[in-house]
Amino acid sequence: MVALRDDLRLALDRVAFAKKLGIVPDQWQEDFLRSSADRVLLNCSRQSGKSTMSALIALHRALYHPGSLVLCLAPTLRQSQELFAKVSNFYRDLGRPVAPQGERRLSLELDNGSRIVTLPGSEKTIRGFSGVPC
Amino acid sequence: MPRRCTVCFHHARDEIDNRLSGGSIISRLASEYSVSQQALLRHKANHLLPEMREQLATAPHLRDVDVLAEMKGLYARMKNHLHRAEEADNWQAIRAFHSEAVKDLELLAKLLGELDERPVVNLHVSPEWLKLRAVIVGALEPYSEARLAVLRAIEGAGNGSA
Repeated sequence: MVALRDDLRLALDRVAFAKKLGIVPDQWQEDFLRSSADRVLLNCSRQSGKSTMSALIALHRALYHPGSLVLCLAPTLRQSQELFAKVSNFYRDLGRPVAPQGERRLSLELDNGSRIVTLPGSEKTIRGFSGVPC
Repeated sequence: MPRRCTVCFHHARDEIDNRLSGGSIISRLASEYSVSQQALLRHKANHLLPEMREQLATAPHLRDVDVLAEMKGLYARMKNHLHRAEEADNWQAIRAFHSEAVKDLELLAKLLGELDERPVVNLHVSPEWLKLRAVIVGALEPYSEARLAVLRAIEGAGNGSA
């Protein structure tokens, strides 16, 4: 019962998920993590944890929503790599709770059919991914 | 599902068993029969026939081999390989070494008697639960307040208040 309760709690609450990874979110980060809005605009300083929160959300989506395609865009290749490193480290820290099907430099494919792909570029350069409107 | 033993299903199993019980060097057998050293060690520890084990135990040049120390050494080497693969970002190698390290660890735990092999059902990784969880999470996703209410109820149940 305890295992199921904790598992459901992590699945339903990204704040609990963040805490499981040793991150104690600020209030704005909690609001962001718990938001169910389709679009969110953040007005933040540098180094305030935007990428960390994005990586958490991306990984949470892939783990708990089987079959998801999660695209993470960053303006440059270097920034994409940094973002993917965060996703990858979180995934590793959690002990790879869903087995990997493929782990590449900028993408992670899971046994539950989810994929996380980080890409450099913009909306214009990611067309071709299923689910991305043309 | 546990992986099957490559030595048990090897076409030359009898020959390998004989040579294992005769105390042949593992690394040499591994290269001659194209099986991994870990597979041979696991087979030797778990699948070798009792009379052959006895023969092995009394082989003069193997009498003093400390199996646990050997296994610990192998595990340490595997972890070292895994660490290097992680540093090199070599995902293919990471997967391979990770899998071998887990198997070595299991074998070590067995040798140390730390592994409880009674059947355990982990409900939180059962396919039925994972499907149900995905349905619950998906249904509640658009409704933040409902999600929080469920969370509070779950936490309340954990504290014995529900």
